[in-house]
Amino acid sequence: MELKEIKELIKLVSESGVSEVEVERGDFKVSIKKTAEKTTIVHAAPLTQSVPVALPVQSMSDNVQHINTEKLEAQSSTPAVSNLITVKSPMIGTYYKSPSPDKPAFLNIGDEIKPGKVLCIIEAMKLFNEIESEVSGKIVKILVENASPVEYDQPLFLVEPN
Amino acid sequence: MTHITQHLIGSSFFKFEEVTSTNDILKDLIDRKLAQNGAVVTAKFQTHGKGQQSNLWESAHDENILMSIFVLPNFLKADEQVYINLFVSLAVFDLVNELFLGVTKIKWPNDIYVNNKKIAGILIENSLQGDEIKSTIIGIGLNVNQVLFANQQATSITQNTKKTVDVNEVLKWLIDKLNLRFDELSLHLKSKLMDDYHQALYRINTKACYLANGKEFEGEISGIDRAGRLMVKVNNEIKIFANKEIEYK
Repeated sequence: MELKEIKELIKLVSESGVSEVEVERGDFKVSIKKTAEKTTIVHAAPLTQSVPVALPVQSMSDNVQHINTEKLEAQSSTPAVSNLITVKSPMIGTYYKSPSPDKPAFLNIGDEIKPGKVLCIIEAMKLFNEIESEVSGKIVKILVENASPVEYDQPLFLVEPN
Repeated sequence: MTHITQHLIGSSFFKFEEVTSTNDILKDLIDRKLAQNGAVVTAKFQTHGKGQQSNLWESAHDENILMSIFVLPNFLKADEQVYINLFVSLAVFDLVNELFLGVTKIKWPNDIYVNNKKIAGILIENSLQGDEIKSTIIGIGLNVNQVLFANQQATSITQNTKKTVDVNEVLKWLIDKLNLRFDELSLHLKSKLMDDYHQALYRINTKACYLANGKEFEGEISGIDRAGRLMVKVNNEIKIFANKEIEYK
């Protein structure tokens, strides 16, 4: 494990609610514990250095970046309706507009979307699929009702590309 | 341990004391590029264990297996994802079945039952772009040493063996089973996975009562279709149900 990864792991421990984590990869082992003021590497193996290292949480710069390398691929557009792009269901299942009933919908009409943006969930056999956009544009129509069954290739949304 | 590390699942481990849910912390680890293909997350306790949509998974502190696995089944198309469910359900079933606790079955879609009580639950979250499966997070809850349950329909390994078991040993077996079934999936042994699932399916080819659309009826489960939906024979006609559309009576 590289130092960069250990730093990121410390950041995860200090930023999320967890108090400690132990990581094993092959012969490598490291465990990180959070005390009241600081996050400490308790033990790092291989045991070349056994001195505990204390890293104050504040020294970590806050630059978590989500790198998106998805290539932009336009989906087949419906010829009838001007230049709108139809986003279709990749599978048979049940359509959900939000991550859970008490959470806001992933999408509303008028929302700008980009590749990688989660559009909805389609569930089959208790397997929840977050459907991500492949295109960028503006949502002009949502074609399905929450919690309704969808077929393979069924149109879900109309997007005005930009 | 060496034979495990050669396999994909369990190539790295992240062990937590307490998390909101193992699926959520695994997503965080993936976003931070810390978890690679095959990574396993375990926790002794989860504060917001996930069941489906709004259901919660309850588990006592440090008594059970709470785990999530990250895999990239990029050899499967989005409409073949039912096989992800089959490989996971069968791996958990294989483990429980080999412990000889009692009659072990998979209750559709993917709960594991021993003597009509639930011993394990599975929740899978995929991320799809187009018809490509970008990543899969598999959450498994297996009751090991818990004896007291709020839910009367729950059971554990210990409740059946009357002996406390080493949770870490069970975890190792489970990871072995997961790797064996994942190998079958990688080799595209789809009809084997489908056949094995049907053999283990609770109430298959048996007359029983069900509830759908507010009506109770007698039917016979004949299996699942290619999309993983339940097929039930009612008056010599096959009816197809999605998850939550049918209730077992």
